[in-house]
Amino acid sequence: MNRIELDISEGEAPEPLIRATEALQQLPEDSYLHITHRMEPCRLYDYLERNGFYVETRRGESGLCELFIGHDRIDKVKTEIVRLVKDMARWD
Amino acid sequence: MNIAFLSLAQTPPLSVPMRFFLTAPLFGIAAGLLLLFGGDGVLDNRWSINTLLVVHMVTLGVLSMVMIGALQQLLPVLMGVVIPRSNMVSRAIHLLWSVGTLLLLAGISQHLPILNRFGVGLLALATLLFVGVILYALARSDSKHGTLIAVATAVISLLFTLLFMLWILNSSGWLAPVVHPLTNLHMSWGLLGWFMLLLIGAAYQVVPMFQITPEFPIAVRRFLAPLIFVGLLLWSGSDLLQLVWMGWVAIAILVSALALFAVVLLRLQLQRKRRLSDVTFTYWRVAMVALLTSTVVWLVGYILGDSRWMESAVVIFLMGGILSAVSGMLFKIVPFLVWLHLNNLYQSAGEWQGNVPNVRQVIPERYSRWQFRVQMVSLGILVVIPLGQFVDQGSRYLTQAAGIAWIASFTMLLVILLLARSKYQSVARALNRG
Ligand code: HEM
Repeated sequence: MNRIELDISEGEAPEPLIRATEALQQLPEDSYLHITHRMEPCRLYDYLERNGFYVETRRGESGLCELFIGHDRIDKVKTEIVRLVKDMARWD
Repeated sequence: MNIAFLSLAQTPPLSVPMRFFLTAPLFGIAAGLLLLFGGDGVLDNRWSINTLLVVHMVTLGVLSMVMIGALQQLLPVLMGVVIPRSNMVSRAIHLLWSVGTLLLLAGISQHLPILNRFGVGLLALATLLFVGVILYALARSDSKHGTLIAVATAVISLLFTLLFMLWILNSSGWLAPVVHPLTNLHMSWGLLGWFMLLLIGAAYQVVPMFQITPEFPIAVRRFLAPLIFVGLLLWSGSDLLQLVWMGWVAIAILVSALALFAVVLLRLQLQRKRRLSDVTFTYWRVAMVALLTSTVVWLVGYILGDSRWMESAVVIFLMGGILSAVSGMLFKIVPFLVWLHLNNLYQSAGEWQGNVPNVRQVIPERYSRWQFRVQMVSLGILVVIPLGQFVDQGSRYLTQAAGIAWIASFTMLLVILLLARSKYQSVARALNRG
C-alpha cells in the first residue's frame, strides 16, 4: 500500500484546499493520502464526504494536524488507516 | 466528480455580505464629514450630540454593519453552519439596520423622540431577527469549534447592548443624549461583548487561515469567550447592585482576558510559518497593540478616577483595535469569497479552476497598503486630539484633520470593495455568456 505525502502547512487559504483536492483527484485506489496542516481544514470534510473518502484526523508529534485519507469503499485502505492512527493523539 | 467546495444549499450568494460591506464605508464617510463640518467640540465632550452621532455612525453604521454581514457568510462558508433563507434574511436585516440607524441618527440630531423610537424599533427588529437566526443556526451545527461559543456569546451581548439602551431611553422619554449611568453598561456590552467576542471568534478562524500561524491554543478557544461573558455579567451585577468588590473581580477578569488575547495573537504572528507580512497582518498587529494600550489607558483612568483617560481608551479600542482588525479582515475575506464563489460557478458549469482570478488579483496589495496608511494617519490624529486643548484652536483643527483622513480612508475602502465586486461580476458574466 502506498502512502502519498502532502504538506500544506505553509499555504495561505485557499491554497491548501486547492492542493488537497488536486491530490485527492489523483489518489490511486490502493493508496492513502497523508496531509499535514497547521490547522484543521474544516472545509475539506464536506468535500471528502460528498466524494466518497474516508478520513481520520489526529495531532502529530510536532503538534501539527495530520489527516489520513483513503477511498471509503476500499476496506484494505481503511483498515490500514485505522491501524496507523490507533495510538495517535486526538486533534481536539 | 463533484469538486465544489461548498454545497450550494448552504452557501449564501456573495451579495449577502457585500451589501453590508458596501454600506459600511458610506457611514464612515458621513462620520468624517461630521468631524470636518460639525463645528467646535465634535469630540470635546462625551455627552455632546455630535459625539453621540459620530460614535453610532461608527459602531452601528460601520462596525456592526460589517460584522453582521460577515457573520452571515463566514458561518456557512468556514464552519458549515446553515443559515435558513439566507438571501431574504440578509435583505431584511440590512434594510432594517440601515434605516433604523439613519432614523436614530436623525432623531438624536433633531431632538425628535418619535424618530428615536422608530429608529430603535427597526434596530430592535433587525437585532431580533439576526440574533435569532444565528443562534438557531449555531444550535443545529454539530461543530464544537471555539468560534461557535464566541459567536453565540457575541450575539447575546448585542441583545444586552440593545436591552440596556431600551431601558435607558424608555425611562427618559426617548430623548438622547440622556447622560444616564446605565450607559456604561450599554457601552461595555457593545464594545467588550458584541465587538470583542465576535472579533475573538473570527480570529480563531481567520488568523491561522490567512496569516499562516498555528491555531490558537485549545484552552484559549474553549474558555476565553465564556470568561469575558462572565466578566461582563459580573460587571453589570456590580453596577446594578452597587457591589464594589464584584466590580474589581470583573475588571480583573476583563482586563486580563483582553490582554491575554492580544498577547496570544501577537505571539502566533511571530510563530507564523512564512515570513511574509501583508496589509492584513500589519492591521492585526496594530489592532492588538491598540487593544493592549487601551486596557492600560482605561485602567489608569479608572484608578485615577479621570474620565478623560477612559474616553481616550474607548477611542483607541474602537478606532485602533476593532476598526483595524475589521479592515484587515475585509482585505482577506472579500478576495477569498470572490474566489470561492467564482470557483463554484466554474464547478457548476463543469469547468475546473478556469479563469478564476487568484486572491491576490482581486484586491491588489498596493491599493490596500495605501488605504492602510491613510487610516493610520486618521488614527494618529484621533489619538492626539486631547492634546489639542493646549494650543489655541488646537482640538478643532485636529478634529477637522481627522475628518479629512476618515473621508479619504473610507472612500478608498469603498472603491477597493467596489473594484473587487466588479471583478467578480465581470468574470461571472463572461462565464454565463460562455
Ligand atoms: C442597538 C442600538 C443602539 C442604540 C439605540 C443606541 C443608543 C445610544 C444612546 C441613546 C446613547 C446615549 C446614552 C446617554 O446619553 O446616556 C448611547 C451611548 C453609547 N453607545 Fe449606543 N446605541 C446602540 C448600539 C450601540 C452599539 C452596538 C455600540 C457599540 C459598541 C454602542 C456604543 C455606545 C457608546 C460607546 C456610547 C457612549 C457614547 C458616549 O459616551 O459619548 N451603541 N447609545
